[in-house]
Amino acid sequence: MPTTLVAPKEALIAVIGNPNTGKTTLFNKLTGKRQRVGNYPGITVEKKTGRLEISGRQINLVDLPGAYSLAATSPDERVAVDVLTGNSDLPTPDLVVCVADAANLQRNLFLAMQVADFGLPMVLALNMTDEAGKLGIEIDVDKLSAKLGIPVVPMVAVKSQGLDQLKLAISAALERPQIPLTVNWPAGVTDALDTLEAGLANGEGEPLTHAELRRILFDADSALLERTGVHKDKIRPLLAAAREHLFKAGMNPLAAEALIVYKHLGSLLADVEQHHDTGKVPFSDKLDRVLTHRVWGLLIFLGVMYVVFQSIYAWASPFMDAIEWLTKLVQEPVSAWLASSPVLQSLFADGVIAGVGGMLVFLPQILILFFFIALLEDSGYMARAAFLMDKLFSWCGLNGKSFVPMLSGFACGIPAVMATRTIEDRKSRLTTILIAPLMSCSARLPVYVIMIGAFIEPHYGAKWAGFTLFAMHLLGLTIALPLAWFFTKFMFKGKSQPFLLELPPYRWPAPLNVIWRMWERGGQFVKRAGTIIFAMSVLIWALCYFPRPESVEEQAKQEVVQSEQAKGSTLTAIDEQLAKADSPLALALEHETASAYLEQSYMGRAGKFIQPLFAPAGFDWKITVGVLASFPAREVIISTLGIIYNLGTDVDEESDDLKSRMASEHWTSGPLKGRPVFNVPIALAIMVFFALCMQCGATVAIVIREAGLKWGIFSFAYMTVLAWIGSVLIYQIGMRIFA
Amino acid sequence: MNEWLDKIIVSVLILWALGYVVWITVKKFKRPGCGDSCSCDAKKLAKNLSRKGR
Repeated sequence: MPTTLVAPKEALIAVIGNPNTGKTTLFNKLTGKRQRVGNYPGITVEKKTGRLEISGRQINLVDLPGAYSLAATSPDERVAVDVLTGNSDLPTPDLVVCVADAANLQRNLFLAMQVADFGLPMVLALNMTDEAGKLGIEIDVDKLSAKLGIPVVPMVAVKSQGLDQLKLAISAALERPQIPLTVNWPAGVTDALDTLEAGLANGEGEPLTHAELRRILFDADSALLERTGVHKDKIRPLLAAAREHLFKAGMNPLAAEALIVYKHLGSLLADVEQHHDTGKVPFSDKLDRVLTHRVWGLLIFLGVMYVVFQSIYAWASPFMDAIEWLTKLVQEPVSAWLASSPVLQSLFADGVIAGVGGMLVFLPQILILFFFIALLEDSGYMARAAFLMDKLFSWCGLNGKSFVPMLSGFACGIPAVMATRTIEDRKSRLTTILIAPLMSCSARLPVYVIMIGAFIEPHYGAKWAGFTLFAMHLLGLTIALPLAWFFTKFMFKGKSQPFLLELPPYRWPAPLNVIWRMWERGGQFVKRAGTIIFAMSVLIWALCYFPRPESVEEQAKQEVVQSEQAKGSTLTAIDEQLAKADSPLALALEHETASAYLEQSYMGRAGKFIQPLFAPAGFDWKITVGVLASFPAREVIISTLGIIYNLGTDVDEESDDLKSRMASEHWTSGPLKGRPVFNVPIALAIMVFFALCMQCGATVAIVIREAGLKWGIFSFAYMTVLAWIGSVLIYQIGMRIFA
Repeated sequence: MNEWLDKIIVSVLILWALGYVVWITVKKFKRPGCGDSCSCDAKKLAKNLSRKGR
């Protein structure tokens, strides 16, 4: 008799757990993916999916944002509830893998009990058992499994310990699903539930399960309310009537669930978990006495940040020189090869290579910055920094949870805005969305480095250069706090919520994680240089190169000749000089012609038209063009200046890098004629403008998506005005001091 | 090199650059991406599973 092999159907498994319990680490280990992990809560704010195969069965794994409970009050927690209740774009999962921190079992099982209430099959992954062991916590896994009625797998996900056992448990649970034993709800709760169920029976919404009704009963403002189909005004008296049963039974409705479940867990764990006194104060606690100290902690934090930025500045130099050398190695032969075609020579040598190469020079700084960010995140220090900042934040009316998004902002504005999803209160979330882009993202780094390298370091030395870099990164945070105070005081009077942050234990950063983070961010930087920067370089070159009437060259020659005649040279002598390609006069003519072409190009005309707007900040038309071209992406200024100064100078000029070209730039007209365009106040004004301005199309787009078009436009407008005011102030004050 | 060929190469590159910048800007505004918090895979999976009748 022929047999037919039927492939088992694809399964959907959700990974859930408290924040920072290693869910994403486990997800990455199981699926081979490289989702971002870190040693502080709130990194995952959206569901992520991956695939794996266990015993020939295809499995789709969904990594959910961390949640302490299913009382979904913030957008990221709601994602978890929606997936578990089948209310998202995904179907209800076939199995839930609940990841619990073995060192905080009771609190982690609170969430597991809430998930269990939904009647979904579950496997408990008891993670970080090594750390629990060090704290003297001993867990009887078999007993726990028997009491919960589900498989329990002890593991250390980061070391891949217990991974095979977990796969076996998942495979078995898919074959024979085991639903966890849950709490026996007392009479007060069941009576309240009956009242609620009867009251909602006439609603137009979909019928809700008992677990879903319990969420509505226990949670202050449940996300499931809208599914009842009953108007909020009508549901309030109904909820009050149902909760009256809880009051009568001596329970506060909003605390009832926690009291009942923790009592249940207390007796469940009584003979499962043993705490042995190790007689030692944990290493993390010892360190925290200093690192979270209200005075020493803050000083150490500032010191750490200072060292980070000094190192970024100092370590990158040799690597930058190497990239500059490589750029020249490409630029010179390309330029020589295309010598017969001036337009192509200019496009590739002055446009593409100067633009893209000028950007790539900053790759070492980006890599070093992310090396430190990864170290600080993985070690657990970033969570301490959030703790230290809470007092400062609450002073300006900001939610303590705002620090994690702002911290992410130092890497990139997009994840920073996304990370505000952990904030429950909409008004606090909006305030954080508006100020998060002020944090100095990695795209600002090249602008700071080039200005500091050209105008601060040569005058004041490497120490002040590092300090300026540190100060520029602090500037955004310093401005953000009073702005947050203004927003919360006058625009969004949000609820001030307590900041609950679980301080993770200090851990040695995993070298692979650090390398991966550098690789990932470095890759993104190179990709941007090869795509958007490349395209922008071509466009900026075209706008700086065209139109190209011959009359410009003739006029420049006439001016040079007239000036030489005025000095007493004869026409024949001038012609002889101009005939020699490397004579000073021929070079002066070449320079004059290049400048004249640039000034009458489309970009030159636009820059000169808009320049008066930026004149109070000391910007000439070339800087103005750089600033304007940087609105889609701020790092474009580097390639723009690279192209402008390459096109505006003769090819044989000795000062062949962008820094020295900027330093040798002089005003050619106006009251400042003959004086250097760049000086310390202008360099500071440019840096302040870039620190405060929203020059990132992608961040504007994400603000629009997360907060709406109105707030996207508002954040762009207020940051642009703020940047202009900041740069004008710095320039005007600076000129009075430095003049 | 032929002057016409130069002009064609430059024009093609400029048109490509212009098209790319417009395309990437429109794309960013329509689908801003997620930074490090992408759920795009989840949406693909949902489509895939609904096609398979789940």
